[in-house]
Amino acid sequence: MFTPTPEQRTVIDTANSAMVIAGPGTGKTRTAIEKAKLYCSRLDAQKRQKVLFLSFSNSAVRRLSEAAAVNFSARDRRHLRFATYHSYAAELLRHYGRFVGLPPKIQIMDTIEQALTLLEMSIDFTADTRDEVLRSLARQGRLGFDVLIPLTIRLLESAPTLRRIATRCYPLVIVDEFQDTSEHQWRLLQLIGADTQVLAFGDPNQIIYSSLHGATVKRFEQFQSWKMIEPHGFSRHNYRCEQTDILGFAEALLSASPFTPPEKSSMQIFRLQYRPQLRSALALIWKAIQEQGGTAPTVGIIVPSNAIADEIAVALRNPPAEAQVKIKVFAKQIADGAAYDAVILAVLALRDYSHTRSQASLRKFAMALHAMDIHWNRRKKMTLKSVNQLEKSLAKILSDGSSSLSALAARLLSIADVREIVPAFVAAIGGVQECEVACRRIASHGKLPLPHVDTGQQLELFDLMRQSRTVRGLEGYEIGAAKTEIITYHRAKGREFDFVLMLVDPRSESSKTPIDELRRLYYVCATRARRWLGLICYQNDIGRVLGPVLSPATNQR
Amino acid sequence: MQIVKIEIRNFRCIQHAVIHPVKNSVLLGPNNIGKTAILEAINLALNPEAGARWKTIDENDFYERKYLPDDGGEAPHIRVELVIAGMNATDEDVFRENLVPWKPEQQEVIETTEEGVDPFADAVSAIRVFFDGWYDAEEDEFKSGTFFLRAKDLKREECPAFTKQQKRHIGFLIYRDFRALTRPITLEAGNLFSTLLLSQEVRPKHFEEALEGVRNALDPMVQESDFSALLASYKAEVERFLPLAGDEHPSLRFELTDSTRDQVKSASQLYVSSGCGKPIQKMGAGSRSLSVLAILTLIMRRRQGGILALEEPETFLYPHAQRRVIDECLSLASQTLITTHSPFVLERTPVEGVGRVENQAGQVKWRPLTTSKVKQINLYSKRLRQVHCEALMGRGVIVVEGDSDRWWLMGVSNAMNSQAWKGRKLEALELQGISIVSADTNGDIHKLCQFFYDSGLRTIALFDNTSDPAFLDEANTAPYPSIFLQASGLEEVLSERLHVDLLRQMLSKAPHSRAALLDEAAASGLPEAEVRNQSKEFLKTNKGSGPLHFWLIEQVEATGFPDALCAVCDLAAAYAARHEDVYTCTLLC
Repeated sequence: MFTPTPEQRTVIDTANSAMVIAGPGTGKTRTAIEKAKLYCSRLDAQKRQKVLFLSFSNSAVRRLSEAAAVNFSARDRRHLRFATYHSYAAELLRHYGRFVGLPPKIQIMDTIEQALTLLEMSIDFTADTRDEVLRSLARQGRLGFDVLIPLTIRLLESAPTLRRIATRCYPLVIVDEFQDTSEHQWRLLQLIGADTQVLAFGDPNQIIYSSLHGATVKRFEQFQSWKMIEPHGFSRHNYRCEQTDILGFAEALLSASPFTPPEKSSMQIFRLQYRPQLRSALALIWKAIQEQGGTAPTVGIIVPSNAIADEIAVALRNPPAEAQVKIKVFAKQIADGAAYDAVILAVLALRDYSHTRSQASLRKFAMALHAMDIHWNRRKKMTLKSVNQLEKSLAKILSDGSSSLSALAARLLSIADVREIVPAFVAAIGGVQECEVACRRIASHGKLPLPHVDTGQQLELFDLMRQSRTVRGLEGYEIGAAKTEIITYHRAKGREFDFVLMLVDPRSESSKTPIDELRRLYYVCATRARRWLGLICYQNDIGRVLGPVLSPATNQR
Repeated sequence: MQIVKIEIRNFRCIQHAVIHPVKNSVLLGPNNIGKTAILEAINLALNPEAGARWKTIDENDFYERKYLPDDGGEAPHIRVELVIAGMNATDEDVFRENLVPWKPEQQEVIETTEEGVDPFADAVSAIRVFFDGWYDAEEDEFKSGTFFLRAKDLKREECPAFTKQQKRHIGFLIYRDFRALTRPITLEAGNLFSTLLLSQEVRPKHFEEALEGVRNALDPMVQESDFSALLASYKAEVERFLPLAGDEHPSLRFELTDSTRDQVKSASQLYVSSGCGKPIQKMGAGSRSLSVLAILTLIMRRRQGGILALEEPETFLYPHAQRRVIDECLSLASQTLITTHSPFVLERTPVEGVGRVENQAGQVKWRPLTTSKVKQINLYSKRLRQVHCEALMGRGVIVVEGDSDRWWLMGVSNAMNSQAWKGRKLEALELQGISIVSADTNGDIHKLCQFFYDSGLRTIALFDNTSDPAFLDEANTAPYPSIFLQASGLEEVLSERLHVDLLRQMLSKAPHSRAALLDEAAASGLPEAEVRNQSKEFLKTNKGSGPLHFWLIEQVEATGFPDALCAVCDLAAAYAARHEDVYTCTLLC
């Protein structure tokens, strides 16, 4: 049972808008949930009123919805609406996009499709042209992620009646992770929350998107002058974690001051000599946690990037023989369906190519492989140049009769059903150097949900895919069933685990990211732990953030 | 909420119809023209229970029964599109994803606007819904559904469903005597009473207990010793041929079936419990109608509104009951759509919403009577409402100057019914749906004629001879024919054309005369010319005296009526039946 402190009680009881600035673990989410719970009884069901939980990222929304699943009856949950700014915008545009110059039927492109579409149009975009192209695509009914919020702002600004109707059903708006609200999102929030009670929760120490979309400390002041209120603060008592040494370490990360964990600490630092040790070290630590951690502890393995998360997930599923531990992991990254779509795209394109031998289908094949690559490898961007390159190398392999891929192409001619050729395809494509890692990962996952494809028709490759795939990244929260999760730094935000294993890899510390933001990011990760924090880093290089904090000889293993 | 636009395609006798109903709309017109089809079409789109008890549509619902595709073409769809406006804040909240801006003046939906333009700036919020029904050849069945139409060109698959619950919020009710009246009032789904329960969100709380009680109802019977003994021996008999499956000691027993639930609901009929008790449907037809109408008015009273469709609500009801029902419905409903053949119903409804349905080869139109001609409306609503209402129900109308003219034309027409006149067989005007309306003054005849003409009736104006050029001008340019009698007035026609003996009788014996009577001998002594002369004066003195005119009409033999009056009746009948055209003319008397 949650008993709010007096300062939390004030926020729960207030009838005005409020802003809460408080550190990690001080009970922000619990307070928000409690507030919503009490508010539910006041909602007018006939008017279809709901409490709106608004956040900038899917993971934050997912976490809130998980918390609500525990705290609310199924009946009350109907009164809650969890949305990201994007999903809110997409919904409104689906209903009323025709009043901002969109056609009546619109289609939302997620990041992968947006990238593919731009490539299809053979535009190697700069920031300027990109905006323009996305706008013109929107007018044809194909909305990229990036135009959703600006268009919605235009709609709400130009149609006051519509804004009144669309916003009065949310008499209470609760904004989570307010510190990471971008400029557009802030404008949208002002429109949605103009006439309603808005509760914003945030922590300036946890701004981790300043370089990505311009989140800023100014936002807190803006909120204050918007709603004309003073901010509430929660005392620094951390309800998540009773372990002062973990909190001390987190503070040290933030202020870049030296830190030495005490003996018999609830925090341990593991220094690895070389990279291949990582797999067995992780397995051993995980096993130790399972043995000593009491009943069913939750474990979060927090890593710098999707690629590493993925690599570790694969590795832990197939541990080295000597480790003798098989870890049941639930890596969100692996469940990402967009990557499968890319595989199927590639198969279809290849089959198309083997029928027609046309340049266009070869190009589509190259693009699909590229999409695979984006999702499964470290590669970040798709450019015209890289597609051209891949296309060239594919053309070479496919015309060379001896290679496995061209043998596959020949075989594809005789097999009709895409469902059947995918495994063979994945195996064969591993022979192409660029796709090697991606294919290994696909194979190790072992489960490929495939759409049914009518084989009789001439393949209109991308159109076909667009029809059969669902858009990713709008909402799609599901409640994690597994006790062990491997997630990235950014996705770890707002989560909590009994045991946290944090992997620090200096190779992932982008030099473009300001050092302050990196510090805050590490701070966010370190404060995810309830009982124990394990820090894994490399002996020879501990990176820019850990550098000033840890002395060279601390706590080796 | 209020329906502001109805568009119907391929439904029954309607190939295409666009109708803009007003708050209280009355659909007039002869049978089989599409009045009922319009109400039924709205019912398809708005009734939450449509399809609950019987199939929503079948082949007979398609225009000209065409439901298969023409060669290479598309299969015809029954489509009913409605725009509903007049929403309050709660309505907007309920339909907040599906609102469209409706411009009342232009009577159109704003489909799209460019960025930066407020679509609701000079429009009100509304919803646009449609019913779609079609024949699915692959599955060999008729399919249908209701959807929101956010934008004009969306395909059905792209439109969100218009759900039962949302329909309930709109609160559409339809009264159809022929269906509702023969059925008992029960608790089953689709019955009006369950609509009442649903509309109030009342569900019987102890239904499960009642059901349990019914389940045990067979116990006393099963426990009778001879009954159970016989059942046991039947079981033994069966087991001579096959062992009964199941546990070690199977037994036979009677139980109520799984469908008990529905059967209990349909078997519980509403009774009036005084005396020996009587279910509603066994009462007189009028009582039945009123008890069904009462459910509708109660629903609207408790919901404070609703869109009400009444199909011939007058059936089985006394005139005063008709008036009461209509008055209640008009005050309770947020919109009414009424088809009627009753002047008592029509006289209670505001004239702004009265209009005739026209059907030309499947193209159906309805529009309310012209409201711009205030003078006529005043005439209509203030003085002569009831008479005019009867006229509006029929096919044709003759507008005359005064009451005497009306009485005589009626009298002639009734007396000449089935009689031969100039080799033709006449039929009474009132049997042909032709009314005679008096305008009280010569000056109003044209205005009333225009009014009736505008409402779609075959209209004839009847004048005494006149030399007023303005009158003649108007008669010559009017879209309806005018007939002038070559006489200074009815009195002249009668005193010249009635049998002289009858006129003598009148001068000496007429009851209720305002003029002094002659004694019988004096009357019989007068020469014919003098009789006719005195009769003219006599009639003028008695102008407007009903009893005297009625008495006189009674005395005339069928062959004794003035030819001019017979001719007017004959012309009007032919004109109303559209056998021949009639042009403005003068009849010699």
